[in-house]
Parts: sequence; C-alpha cells; structure tokens
Amino acid sequence: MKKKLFRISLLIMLVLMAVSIASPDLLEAWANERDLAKRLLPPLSSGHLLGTDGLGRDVAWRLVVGAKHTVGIAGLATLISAGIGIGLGLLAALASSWLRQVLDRIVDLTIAFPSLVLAVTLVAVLGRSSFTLALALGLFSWPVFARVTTAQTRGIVSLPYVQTARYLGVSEWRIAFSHVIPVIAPTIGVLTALQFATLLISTAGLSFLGLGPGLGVPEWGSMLAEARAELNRAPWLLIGPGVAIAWTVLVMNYLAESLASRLRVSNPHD
Amino acid sequence: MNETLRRALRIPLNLALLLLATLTLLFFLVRLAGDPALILSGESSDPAVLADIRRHLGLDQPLYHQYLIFLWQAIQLDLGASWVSGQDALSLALERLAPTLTLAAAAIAVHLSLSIPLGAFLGATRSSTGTLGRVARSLDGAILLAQGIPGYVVALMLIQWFAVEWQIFPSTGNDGATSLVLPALTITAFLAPKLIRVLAVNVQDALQDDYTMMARAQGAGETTVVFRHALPNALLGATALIGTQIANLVNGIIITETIFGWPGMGRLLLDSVLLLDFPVVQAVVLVTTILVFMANQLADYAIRRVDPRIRHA
Repeated sequence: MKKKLFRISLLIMLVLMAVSIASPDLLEAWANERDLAKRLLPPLSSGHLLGTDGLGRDVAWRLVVGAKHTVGIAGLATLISAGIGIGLGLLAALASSWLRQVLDRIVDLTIAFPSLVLAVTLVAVLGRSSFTLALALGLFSWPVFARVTTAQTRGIVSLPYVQTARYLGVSEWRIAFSHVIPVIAPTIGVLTALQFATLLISTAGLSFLGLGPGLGVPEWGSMLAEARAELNRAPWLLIGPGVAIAWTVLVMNYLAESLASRLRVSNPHD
Repeated sequence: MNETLRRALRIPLNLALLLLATLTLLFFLVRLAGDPALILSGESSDPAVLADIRRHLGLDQPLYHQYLIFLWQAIQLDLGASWVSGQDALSLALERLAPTLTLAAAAIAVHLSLSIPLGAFLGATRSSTGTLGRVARSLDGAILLAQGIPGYVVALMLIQWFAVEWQIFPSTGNDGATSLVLPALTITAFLAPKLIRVLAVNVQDALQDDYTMMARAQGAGETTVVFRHALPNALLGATALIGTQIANLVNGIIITETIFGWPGMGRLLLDSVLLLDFPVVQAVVLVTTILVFMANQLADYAIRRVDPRIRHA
C-alpha cells in the first residue's frame, strides 16, 4: 500500500517535472496570466482548480511551473554539493599524507560553519537569482558528502583486493574509478536523495525569505511568501505550495529509504 | 588526564583557525559584491565623492594590504561601522545575542520536553496490540508526514490559527513570554520529528534487551521499565543527534526570527543582507560562527561525559 502510493507519487512527480520543463513558454504564460477581477478565488472555483492568488493568477499552474524552479534549484545545489564533496572526499582518502591532513582540516572547519548564514551572505553578495541560490546552497553543504565518501573509501582501500591492485602498480585514479566509486555508489545514492530533500527545504526557505529568483517567478517558496501576505483573507493559499514542498520531501525521503533497503546500505545520516 | 588536557589545548587552536578561515572568506565575499564605495554612495556616482569614500575605507590600498588591515582590526574586535546607521557593527550584533539565545533556549526546552516523552511512548507502544498500539501507529504516520513539512510552513499555519483566528499568541515582536511560544514551536517543528523517530526506535530496541527483561522479571512495572531502564539508554544513543541539532539550530533560527519579527541576530543578518550592510553581516557571521563552534564543543564534551564507550575509544 505504502509502496504503491510512493510509486504513484514518484510517477506523478516525474510527469509534472517533464511537463514543467518541456513546454515552458505556454505554461509560464498561463502561470503568470493576471486577472484582477478574479483575485483570491477559493479552490475548486470554475476554471481554477486550486483557486487564484492575490493578483488573480492560477495557483495550480503556478505550482506546476514552480516545480521547475524549486526542484531545479535544489537539484543543481545537490549536484554542486555532491560534486565537491565526493571529489574532496576521494582526494582526502587517497592522497599523500600532508594533503590528506589539510583536507581533513578543511572538512572539519567547513562542518563547523553556520551553512545557511553563509549561503544567505553569498546570495546577497552575488545578487539574487536561481543560479546564485543553487551555488550558495551547494557551496556550503558539501561536507556531509566528503565525510561519508572519505570514511567509506578508507575502509575499501584497506581491503586486500585494493591493496593487491596497488602492488600491481594500478594508479590511484584507476583505483578510485574502478574499485572505490562502484562500491560506494549505493551509499552515495542514498545520501544524495536525503541531501536533495534537505536542500529543497533550504531552497524554498531562502526563497521564502526573499533570496530566491525574485518576485513574479512562481517558485514554491516565493509563493509561500505571497500567501503569507494574504493570510488574513485567503489562508488556503498556504496549502498548495506547502503540500508541494512536503510531498516532494517525503517522496525523496521514501526514495532514500527504499534505495537503502534494496541496496542493503545503512542510512548514512544516522 | 593527559588526553583531556591535549584535547582542551586544541580547542583554542581550532577556534583560531576557524575564525581566520571565516574572516578570510568574509573579506573576499564582500569584495566579490563589487565596489563598496559604489554601494555606499548609492545612486550618486560623483567621482570626487567616490574617491573620498575609497580613501576613507582604505580601498585605494592594494588588496593584500586591505586584507591585512581587515584582519588586524578584527583581532582588535573592530569590524567597522554599519554602512546604514554608522553604529559599531560588532555591538549591533552583540545587542541581538540575548534575544537569540533566549529563543534558542526556549526552543530547545520545548523540543526536548515534547520529543523525549513522545519518543518513549511510541517506542513502548508502537508494536502493542489494542487501542494504545493503534494510537501509537497513527501518531507514527503523523510524525512521518510531519518530517516532510518544513518549519516555515508550520510557522505560517501556527500564525493563521493561534494569532489570526484564535488570537491567543501574538504573531510578531517581543513582548514577554507569550511572544516566545510560536517561534519556539516553529523551531521544534524543524527538529522534533527526527528526534522522536530515533528515540522511538532506540526505546523499542532497548525493550528487547536483556536488562529490561531482567527488570521485568524482578517485578518492575512497565512504566518503570520504559522510563527508568529503556529511556536513559535510548537517550544515550541519541546524544549525538541532539548535539548536531543544537549546533545546527542557527539555520532554523534565521528563518524563524524573520517570520516572527523576533529581534535576534538572524533577523539582523537578513535585514543587513538585504541592505548590503556588509560590516554588520560580517559581525553577525563571526558571532554565529563562534556560537556554533561553542555548541559543537559542548555537544562533544557532553557525549564524552555521558558515554564511557566514546570516552575510552
């Protein structure tokens, strides 16, 4: 039952993402079409399944287009975070001893940084846009990936088959790509799904605070901020973006969980 | 003892390194933002005014020189004056320290006093048959769902119900204990689901262990077994998580303070960031970095104190 629900959710999500990416112009037009005569219509009004917002824009279409922005930013942030983290993590496990110590130190330092505080600062410095938000979140969230990668890699490198490869003169690069990465891939996959969920919450959160792609863009966090302004008159506006964020996070958490049990890895966050 | 001493000596060294890294990062971040003189002068770009501001801020010096001056002044606790109000940036940040710490303490208190009993209850009853088991399992489902709902959405729902409809608690500002309630609940919403789930699993495991069996055999009631025998061990297993949660509290606090207009450092950070008031931003980041570092050290120390297995590892 739970499994079926999850599969249907994942399918709907993928379809929505595909729709939102595939036909941007038409959808953006629908999502941004204002009709001041039809402001703050409640859900299930004729022609507007989820009602309209304070400018008379259709909430349902804004949510669909918003998937591209919110999920896209969180996805890019996850990629940046995973790229830096896995790269540095491998290096810290395979490099010579002084570089290893330096990298360990850097990871320890970065873990102690207040990540969201620095992300907020970086977004302000570089100017507000989808890309800077993704960059800022990615740049300050990679230590988790580095820690898990280093710990796992160190375990594998001490195993006889890797030692044998070393004695046979296989280069560190080849060891990394053909002996380490395939083995740590499942754990990294699970961690990526969990990290994606976390970064999605941060993405919408910073955007809610006004550090996202900006006014008018139907990003879920900005939609929440707009809903907040109308809280007295139209509290139902919270439901759409709130459910969209929560649903995506839950599906991702469940994806991580089922990946973990299928691939028999322990949850790297615990 | 020798090990403890060495560990203690490394703390100031680590803090110094962390502060150096943070200051360096901040210095270059602000330079990335563009010419501070342009930001300061606003729209008017009279070259004479610009040159004046540059000279005043030392921006006509080479970059490494500016960096060294910045570090030297930071060591003397001088982070410059706010570009907006002209007040000392560090004092502005420190003024907000007390409200933030108050909110943090309240949030931790609410979080722990809600999560610990709930986790114990769920762990003890989730697999039992009958009404209690059914209640526990539906609560389990609710907590699973709650894990997906971000704190800021919870905050808006709390405002809608408690402040707008029922008008029990104020939604903004800082007058007395009542205005602490909703922000503290919001931060709890960020943290509680995870801790409750971990505690429930730990309690459930502990209840299968030999020592709880033994306690039962000696005639202890089920409540005693859960709270006196299973829960302390379950908490021990969750100290690391609690420590991380407290160290990461600052992330939830930024958002919460901004939503509720709580006059703490998180809100100051966001206000200054939106005004591009970089000296204040630097001061806030520096103070939060120190706070997070101290929280991490405390958590580390606490874990070592309560868990001999780690202390002697």
